Amino acid sequence: MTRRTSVAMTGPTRDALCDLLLPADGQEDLCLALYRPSTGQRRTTALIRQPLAPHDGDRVVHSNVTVTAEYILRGAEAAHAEQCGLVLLHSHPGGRGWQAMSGPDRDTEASYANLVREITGLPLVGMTLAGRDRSWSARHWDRGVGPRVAATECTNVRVVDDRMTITWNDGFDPAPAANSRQNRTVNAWGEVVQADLVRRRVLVVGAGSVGLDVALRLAASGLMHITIMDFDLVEEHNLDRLVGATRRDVALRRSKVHVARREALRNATAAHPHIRISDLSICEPAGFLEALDHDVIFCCVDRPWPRAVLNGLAYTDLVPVIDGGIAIDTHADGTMRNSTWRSHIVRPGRPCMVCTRQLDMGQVALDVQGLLDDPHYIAGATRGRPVGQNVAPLSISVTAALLAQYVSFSVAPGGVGDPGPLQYVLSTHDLHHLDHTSTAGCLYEPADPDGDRRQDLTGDHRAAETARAKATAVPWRIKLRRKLDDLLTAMTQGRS
Amino acid sequence: MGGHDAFAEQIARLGLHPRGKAGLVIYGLEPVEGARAGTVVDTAVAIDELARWPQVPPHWIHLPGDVTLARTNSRPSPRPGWMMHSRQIADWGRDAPGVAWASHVRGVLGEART
Repeated sequence: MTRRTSVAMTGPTRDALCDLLLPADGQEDLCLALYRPSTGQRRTTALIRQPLAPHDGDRVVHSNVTVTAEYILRGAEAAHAEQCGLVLLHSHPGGRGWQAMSGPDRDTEASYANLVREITGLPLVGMTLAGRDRSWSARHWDRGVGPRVAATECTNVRVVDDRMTITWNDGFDPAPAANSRQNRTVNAWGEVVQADLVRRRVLVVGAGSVGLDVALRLAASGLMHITIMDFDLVEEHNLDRLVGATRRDVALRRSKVHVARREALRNATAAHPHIRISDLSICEPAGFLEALDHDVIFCCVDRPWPRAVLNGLAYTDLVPVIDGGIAIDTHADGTMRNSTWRSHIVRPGRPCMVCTRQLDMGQVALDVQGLLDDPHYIAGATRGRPVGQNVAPLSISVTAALLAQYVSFSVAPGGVGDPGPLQYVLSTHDLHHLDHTSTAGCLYEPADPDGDRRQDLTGDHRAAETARAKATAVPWRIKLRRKLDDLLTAMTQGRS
Repeated sequence: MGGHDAFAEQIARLGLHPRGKAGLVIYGLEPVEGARAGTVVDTAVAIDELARWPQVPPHWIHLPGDVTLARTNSRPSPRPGWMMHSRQIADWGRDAPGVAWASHVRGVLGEART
């Protein structure tokens, strides 16, 4: 399978590059920038860190702009010193949308691709800015050497800001025609937005009550590429919240992702939906690599370790994480005192989960060591095991809160994107905008995207390994019943 | 930079003299309260627990067996004669990691009864 490539940057980086590339005189221009690679299972993303502004004489501007070898060399050396790769960017002030490469542009990039890779150890990335609508296009010069050096066209360029803006390469991911099942959806935000949303690769981490609902609603709105990640099996105590899961799923020892995929497919409106499932944990190295192939992630897990991994990834690899959760507070007699649910988008420019107090890093070591499931440890601990209250009528509110964040972030209704952290209080039915800011000691939000040079928080995950072993070690009778059940489901879905 | 090297460097900057021994980073700390107030107490962290430092702080505090704490969930440390005590640090990520860790351990040592 061909490896996909892409580029991602933050809003402030985009603005700085636009200032350099779109001068007031309307001429073409160029500049350099540094990037770090973020290597997923199937996609490599160049994460742009900072522009390297040209000095006088670094480029010759006439009808077309030309870069000097001195500027390229200075940029490549700066990239090498910072353990980065180099990006060569130029503008087409009159252009709109994804730009095809002209012969001279291709020749220029090709002529420096070998040299830059030689100095930095990383492929040159070429980018073009279309001035009329500020669309980006990009390619990685990652194939062949010498005269045979060649570029792999990127699939998309993502800008993570208060709104996520994506320029799509229609050659790789053509905009699908909206079908009659999506009429009401298209009427809500228009064809252009729909064509953008349905192409996004979205990962849902956690296929519990919230994750399952999120996945099937994304599928219903027409998304073509959804991955659902969870290693757990469906158990009896999940059935009061896992809408769509049945006692038969418990008896057949079905995984949560199997059920989530089944329900998502049942609700999907895309002509050819690709609902992938993964029984990995995001805390495992392979699960983490899988996550890097996505444009947006929904965090639907409550354990500290996976939340810590996702919190870090949002900043180190520029994959925004839409996060939320519910807290139910009870009186001593077990009756409900209150419930609150929160939602926020974890991304550069917004405080991280630690700063919003949605993640206690002090608990992560316990989770990594498996102590949160260790009865011996729990017996000796003073605070006991968390009770984990949740109810189906309220978990749907968490789903709604996450999806509303997602819509604001993607569609920006009325021009307003990411609303910031929100909290809904059930007892008084108040919605609060939480005034969280990044703390001075924050290890995540102020940092440049590190990509593959990030600190690795992943590792072996005993609970995931145990669950996978349990899922496969089933008697042949159950395996046979699963096959029959799958057949029946396929026939039912085929009829609908 | 992360991991146990970063941890050692950060607490060295605080004058705590870290040294590695048998899978632990051992250093000395002077509590201001409790039975050990005013004396330097050796304490340690397992190198395994420092793999994700500074993002993830360690959980277990290793102490000589003669340091007893009022309430504790403890296990034998890999260092003979020592015990490791379960202590969850609060508000991690709000201060410089080395300073926050030293302050946490100093607080735990302040609970010492002997």
